[in-house]
Amino acid sequence: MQQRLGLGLKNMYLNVLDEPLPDDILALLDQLDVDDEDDADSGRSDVNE
Amino acid sequence: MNRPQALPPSQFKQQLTEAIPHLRAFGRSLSGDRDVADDLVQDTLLKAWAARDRFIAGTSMRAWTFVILRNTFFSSMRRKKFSANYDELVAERILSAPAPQQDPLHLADLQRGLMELSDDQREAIILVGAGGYSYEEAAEIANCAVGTMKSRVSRARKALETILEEGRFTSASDGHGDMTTTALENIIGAVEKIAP
Repeated sequence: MQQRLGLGLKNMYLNVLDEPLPDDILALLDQLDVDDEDDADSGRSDVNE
Repeated sequence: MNRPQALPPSQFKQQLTEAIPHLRAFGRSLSGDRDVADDLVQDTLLKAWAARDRFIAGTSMRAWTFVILRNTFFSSMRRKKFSANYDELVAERILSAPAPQQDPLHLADLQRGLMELSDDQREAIILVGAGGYSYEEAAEIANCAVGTMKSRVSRARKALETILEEGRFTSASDGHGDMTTTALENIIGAVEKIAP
């Protein structure tokens, strides 16, 4: 069971890696260029907590 | 003393992009829901981009963004923005995805079983058992001691094995009702409905 569990967990994870990125994430990536240097620090509290 | 070097935006973006598939896999395993996971990834990308001057060149972008994603998930869970739940449709998609033929474990059951674990145990076994992180790396991401991470992974493995062997799922993973039932009880119940 332990081996099956290990394989199953890895396969579950790997299956997602093989998926193409959804359009909304690709669109967000495009926007990152536009926003560039003047970002608000909205995410800071979740970084290095 | 020299200040740690930040990455130029273009290189930062490239590394961030390369981390996205892993963020999606981590987020989906953590939340049990494809759409929630992708929302988490988008939040994570925005936060990482906003804080990019704090990323140190030469360190792991994947580990750094995993910290942001898990902190976002757990703080959002406290605010009930996201909830960890089993998603039947996600499980079906997982099942339809290609997988090595020698794996006999039902991936829908596995995803459902993961949702039975406590949040910290689920995170631990995803990072170490699925993502392939060392105990040290996983402990750093989860902000806990290495010994704590080892203990969480060990307890998660045992609990998951028991859940999968016994087919015991609760409302925490199926989203329906309050009773704890086994697969056998479900079958008996279904038969009784057909032939009372």
